[in-house]
Amino acid sequence: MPEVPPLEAELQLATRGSEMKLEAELPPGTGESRGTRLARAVLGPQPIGMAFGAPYALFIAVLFAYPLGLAVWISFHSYFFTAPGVSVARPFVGLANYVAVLTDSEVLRSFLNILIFLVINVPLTVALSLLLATALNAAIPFRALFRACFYVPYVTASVAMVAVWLFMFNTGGVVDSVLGPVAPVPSWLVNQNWAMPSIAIYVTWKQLGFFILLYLAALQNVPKELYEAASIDGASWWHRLWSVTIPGVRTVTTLITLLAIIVGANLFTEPYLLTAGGGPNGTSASPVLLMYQIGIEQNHPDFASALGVILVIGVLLIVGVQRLLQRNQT
Amino acid sequence: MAQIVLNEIDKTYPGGMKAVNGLSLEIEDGEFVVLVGPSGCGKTTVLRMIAGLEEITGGTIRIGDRVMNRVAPKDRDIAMVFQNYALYPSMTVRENLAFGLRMRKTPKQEINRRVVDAANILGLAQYLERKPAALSGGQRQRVAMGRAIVREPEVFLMDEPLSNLDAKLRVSMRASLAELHERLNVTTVYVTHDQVEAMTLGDRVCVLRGGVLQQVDTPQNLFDYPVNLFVGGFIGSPSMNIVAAKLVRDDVGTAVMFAEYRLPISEHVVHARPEIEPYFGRDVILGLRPSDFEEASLVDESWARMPVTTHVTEALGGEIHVIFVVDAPPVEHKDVVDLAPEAEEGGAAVPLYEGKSVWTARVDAHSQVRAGDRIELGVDTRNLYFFDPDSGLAIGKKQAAEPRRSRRGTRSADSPGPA
Amino acid sequence: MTQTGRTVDEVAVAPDDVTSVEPRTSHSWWRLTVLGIGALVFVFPFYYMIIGSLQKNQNTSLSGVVPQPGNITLRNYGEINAALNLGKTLINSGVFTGGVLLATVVFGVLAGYALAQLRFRGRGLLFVSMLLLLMVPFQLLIIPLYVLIVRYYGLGDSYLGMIAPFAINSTAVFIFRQYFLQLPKELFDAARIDGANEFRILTRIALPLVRPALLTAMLLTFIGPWNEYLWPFLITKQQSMQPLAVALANYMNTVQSTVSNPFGTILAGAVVLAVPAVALFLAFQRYFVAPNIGSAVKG
Repeated sequence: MPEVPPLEAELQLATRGSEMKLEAELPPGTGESRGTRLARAVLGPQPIGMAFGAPYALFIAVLFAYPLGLAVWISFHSYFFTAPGVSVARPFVGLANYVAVLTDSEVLRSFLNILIFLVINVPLTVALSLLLATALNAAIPFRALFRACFYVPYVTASVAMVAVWLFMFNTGGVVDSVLGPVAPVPSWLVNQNWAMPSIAIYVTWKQLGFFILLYLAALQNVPKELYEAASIDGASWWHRLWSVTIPGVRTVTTLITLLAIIVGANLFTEPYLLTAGGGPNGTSASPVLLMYQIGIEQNHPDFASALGVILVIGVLLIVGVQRLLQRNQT
Repeated sequence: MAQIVLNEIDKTYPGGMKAVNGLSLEIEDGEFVVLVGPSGCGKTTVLRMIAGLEEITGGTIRIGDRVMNRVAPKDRDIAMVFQNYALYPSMTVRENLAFGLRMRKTPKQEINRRVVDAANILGLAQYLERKPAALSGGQRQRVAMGRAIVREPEVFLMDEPLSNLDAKLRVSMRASLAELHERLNVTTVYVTHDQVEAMTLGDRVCVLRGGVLQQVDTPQNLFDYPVNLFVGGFIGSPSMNIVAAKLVRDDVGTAVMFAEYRLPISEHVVHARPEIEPYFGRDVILGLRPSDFEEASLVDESWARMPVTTHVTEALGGEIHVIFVVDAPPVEHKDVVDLAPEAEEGGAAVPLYEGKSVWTARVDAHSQVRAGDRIELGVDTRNLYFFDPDSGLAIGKKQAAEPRRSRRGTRSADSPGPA
Repeated sequence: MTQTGRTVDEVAVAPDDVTSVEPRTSHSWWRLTVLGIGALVFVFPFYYMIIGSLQKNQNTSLSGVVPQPGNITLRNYGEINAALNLGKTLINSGVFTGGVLLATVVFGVLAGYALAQLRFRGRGLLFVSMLLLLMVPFQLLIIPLYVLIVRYYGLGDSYLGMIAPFAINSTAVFIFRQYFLQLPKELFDAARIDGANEFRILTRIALPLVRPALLTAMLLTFIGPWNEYLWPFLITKQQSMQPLAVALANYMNTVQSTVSNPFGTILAGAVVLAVPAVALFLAFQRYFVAPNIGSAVKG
């Protein structure tokens, strides 16, 4: 499989394409009417592409760009839901919603929860998926079967998986039965200290298969000769791991970190269902859960929008920083 | 069938990279013209501009009577053969051959007739129902040719069509290509980086460098009368030996001197090439074809002598290549650098020979030379090439005995040279 | 002579799994141990889900891990069917998923092809928008989407409202684009010289070559709406419009003590929800392989 060019290059290509000099300087009367030439100048050499891309462009405009703009608008106004047909004033309130969000103890707690989530989820995911991918990257019996086992949780609905985990980690569930006296009291999902780590472990388990596949792809791109050369040079397996494998899969590792942050910023189903609406005292509440609870249940969409905008900016900032770091490294 | 006229065509890529620069060329009806040059010289770009796959930044392209600058590829009445063949993998050979005709709404019977004809010409009749994946490289290449033939176009455009074949197949396909052209007599523009292919196939050959046309001429004329150091170095295999030298005229006579050698030149030669005259007492770049060497014992007294120590010998059966070192720094003229782009990355400077030039001489297979021998080589000084050390242009090009004509006898552009 | 260009049919668009694996060594025992333990951890919850869904009485002790002949029943499936109307909720899930799949395959392929092979005004903008959309999680837009779809357009409790935000899966568009990019440029040049228009090139030449990508993208697209919880949960109030995932989650939150084995009933619902996705992936697992996924998300 040909190597996919890095995103920066793609972006440059894509943007350069749009700046492309679309019309050549031609002496008049070279076989094409002025109208078609003008059309090509405005629409590009293959205007049919606009027709092909139109439905998707429309989708982006209506269901991404416009809502994003609306979110920003709502976040700067006092906004609440009214009965249909009732029109109320929605005064501009400046940064008031943002101030409210950033001083809200529940919101700050949810950010802390995400931090806890990341601290557990990222290292665990990286270590386990790299280990399992390395083990899979060989001609071993039942390879396809193992692989299938690993990604099955990824493709299964979180609602279904949460049901099983509830069953297993419930007070007096099978996990408690196995652990006996070592089991935490109160039980995992209703324990202030264990609610968020439980979610982090659950998400690690659920997503791991996908990351194993990513690492596997990256491992298969590491030239075998590098391992052979390292072996000949007398490197131990540890050295081979450290100086061949890990550098070889670095892009995937950064990608996993990035995706983990996005997943963290996105958590909803798990805190809502697994820990019954955000855990004891909101110790497993996530920002999106608060957006739902405050924005829709409690009818403060302005507050929730501001929280959403902050999260979008946060995610884009992190993506940007990560890209920057990656570029500096290469 | 049609004439193709390129008039001052330019190609500038966004970002300012100029791939083709003011190229003018007339290709006669039925002519086989080869575009050749090192990678990145713009030859494929020119071909793709003729095909309409690449937009033209400036100038005009005419095929037959029509200016084609803005005409879509499908309306130019051309067919193209690609380096990787570009066969449609999901279609059988028959469907591949017929696709272009079906798109043109050619009647079914006519399509069938042409497909069968082409398959017979190319020996593909038994493979018509196969998919490309089930064919060998040579067979795929022939399908690609067939796809062009069935279209019965005005012009064939070929982009390195043989370079994905192994050496042996390439030679035989080269012969069939030449034969096919004799038979169909369709105007053909052929791109290659392989100068042997260029020399053997082309009625005329165009040498390009950095998007600029260097010389257009018959293969023999290109070999005999290169306009500059670049063409001289590019055409011919093994390539021309070059060295910074000095032309002298003193008590002993006229001669060219380099390293420890002094090769006498007969006044006869000087007389025939009066442009040499002003260069006496000055630096020049001397070019010597490997084929103008022979072991001294096998040639008469009119050849100059050059004692050398053989470094390596390569016995090829019919001839022997003697590789030896001349104690003179390698020529660093821009024309030479352009010949080997990889040299810029330090690839060509073999430290073993640092500061010296590595030369090749071709001698008779019956010569007894061995690596490490001290031998005497004869040099045919009638065929020395001289180039201006600044401009790289040939000095005192021998006058062609007759007006340059393509092999087919059609009229050719009369003033080749750098644009 | 170096083989510079690859010929078209050597292009690896077919899924290829065991490329460049390390040779089998005597050390494969550690691999098998690691993988075995891993597989156990991954599969056990599924096994336990099935066991639990078949228990007559809830048994959370260790002995419950193995099926007890006296404690097996299919009654839980009947109970969940009575509570949720499985048929209707499965149809809802199917319509939701099918609508997204259809829109993604039709419009996503067109967009992916345009982004990869056509030069037109606005292509750069479209591409950048796609990347942005891939990076900004949908969940962060729930408030304005809720306002727009439920409040402005009154599309709450409707299939259209459910499908709209997911209609064209951008990951799939990205995969299509990557695959169309990998096809040799000359193939398209040849077809253009042959006189085919872009739509024909797409349907006759490009699409047959990216069939595996099409399947990969469809599989990835499938799990989105089939498993989605938050959005359909937000916009459906009537149970008759809810997809299975939403109906089941609501049932979990308001567990009925009227049934004899509440957990067993929930797990029976979970099995019904999990089976279609798992079955589909196992059936088409050769299309869900590392290189495909890798090329889809490697940025």
